[in-house]
Amino acid sequence: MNENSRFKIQGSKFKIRVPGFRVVNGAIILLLILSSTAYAHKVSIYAYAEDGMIHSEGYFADGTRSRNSRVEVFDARTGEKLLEGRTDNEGRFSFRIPRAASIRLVLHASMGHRNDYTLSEGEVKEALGIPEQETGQQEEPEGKPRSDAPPPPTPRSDTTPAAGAPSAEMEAMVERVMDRKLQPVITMLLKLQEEAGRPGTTEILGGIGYIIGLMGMAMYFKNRRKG
Amino acid sequence: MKRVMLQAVLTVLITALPATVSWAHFGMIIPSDDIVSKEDGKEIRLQLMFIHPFEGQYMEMARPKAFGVMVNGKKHDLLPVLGKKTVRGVSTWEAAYRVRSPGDHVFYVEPAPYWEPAEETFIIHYSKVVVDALELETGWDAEVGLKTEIVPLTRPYGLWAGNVFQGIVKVDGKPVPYAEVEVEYYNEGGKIRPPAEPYITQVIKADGNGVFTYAMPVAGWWGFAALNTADFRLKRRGKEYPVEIGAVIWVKTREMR
Repeated sequence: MNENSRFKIQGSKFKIRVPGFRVVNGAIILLLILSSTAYAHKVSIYAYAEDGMIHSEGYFADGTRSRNSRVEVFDARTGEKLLEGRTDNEGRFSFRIPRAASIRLVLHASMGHRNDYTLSEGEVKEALGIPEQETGQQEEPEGKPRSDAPPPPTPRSDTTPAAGAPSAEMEAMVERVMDRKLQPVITMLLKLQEEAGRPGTTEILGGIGYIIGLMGMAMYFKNRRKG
Repeated sequence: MKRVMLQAVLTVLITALPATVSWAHFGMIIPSDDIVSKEDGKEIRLQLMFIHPFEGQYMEMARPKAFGVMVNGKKHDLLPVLGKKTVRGVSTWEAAYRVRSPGDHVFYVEPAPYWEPAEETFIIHYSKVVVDALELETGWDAEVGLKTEIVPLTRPYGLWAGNVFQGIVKVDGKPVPYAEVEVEYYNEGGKIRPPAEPYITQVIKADGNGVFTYAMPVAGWWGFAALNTADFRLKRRGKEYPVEIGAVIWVKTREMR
C-alpha cells in the first residue's frame, strides 16, 4: 500500500515534467494492485466427493475465487493423469468420479501459482455408495484392460466360504465403517485414560497438605503426651 | 516445641482451606487447533467447560442451551453431537466436528445459567472460538448474533505470542462503551505461577466505542470475557437474582521461532 502511494506521488511529479509518462505510471500502479492480491494470498484448492461426483473449488485466502483455472486430476497412487478441466466463474469445477481410488487434484492459477488436494480412497468410495466391484463394472463400458481398474479387495486366506468375495468385502466394509464410527470413542477413551493417569497440581498439593497435616497432628499429640 | 507444632498444624490447615477469593469465571470452548490444514484429517475436537483458566479450577457445567458452528454465514446446530465428559468430578462437554468446506468456522456455545452462591448471581457466558479451515480466511469477523458477543477486529487465529488482540464488545448487537474485559491465560498444568493475585486475571476496559486491546505475552490459549449485567433476571427458589452475561472469545498464540 505504501508503495502505491509513493508511486502516486512520483506520478504526479512526473505528470508535471513528462506529460506522456502518466499513462505508463497508471499502468504500473494498476499492475501493482493486481499482482499484490495474487502474491499476498496463496491459492488453494478444496475438493469433496458426493453422490458419484467430485466437486472442487479454487480460492485465495481472502475469499477471491480462482476463476478459469486449469485443474488436473490424477490417480494419487499411480500418478496417472485421468482428466483435466477449468474452474468456472465461481472457481468451481465438478466431474464424475473417474476411478474408485484416491484422487489428487492440482489447481493451476495465474502466474505459476498452484496447489493440490488429495481425496482419500475411502472418501471417494463412500461417494460412489456402492461396493468397489460394482463400480469397476460401471467404469468399464468399452471393456478396457483391467490394469487401471481398482485393485480387488484383498481376500482373506482364512475365511472364504461359499459366499466368497462379497462376504469378505462386506466384512472389510463393516470394519471400515466401524473404525470410522468408533474413532471419536477411541480418542475419548485415550484422553480419559490420560486424564486419569495424571493428577493435577491441586490433587498433588492437596495430598501433600493432608500428609503434613496428619503428621503434624500426630506429632502434636505425641508431644503433648510426653509433656 | 508444642507451640511450633501447633503453628505448623494451623498453617497447613489454613493453606489447605479452599481459597474463597473470587477468581474470574470463564466459559471455555477450546478446539484441538485454531487452524485446520488439509493434512490434519479435517477433524476438529472441541472441549467445553466452565473454568478458572489460570488456576485450573473446574466448575460444573450443565448441558448447554445452544452449541453450534457458523460457516459461510450459515449456522449449524451441533447440540446432538455433544457428549458429556467428567473431569475432576464435574461435567464438561466435548464434540468432534468434521470440516466439510473451507473457510472460518465460528464455534459458539450458550450455556445454561450457572448459579454462583458466593456472588448471589447467575452467570451466562456466551463463548466462541474461531477455527480457520483449509486456507480460506473469511468469516472470522462475522457476528453470530449472541445476546452478548466479542466481535474480533484482529483475525483471531494464526497469532504470534506478543501480538495484540482487539475486539468490540457488543450486547444485543450494539457496542458497549467502556465495557470491562477480563483476560486470562489457560495455564495448563499450572506451569505459570502468579507472583501476586492481580496477575491471575488481567483487567482492561474498552474505549468509548467498545473496542478493547490486549497484547498476549506468551504462547497458548487466551480467554477474553467482557462482563455485563443482563437486562433480565432469573428466578431461584421464588426469588429473582441478577444475571451476569459474559461475551467470551478464545484465541491461540504461538511462539515465534
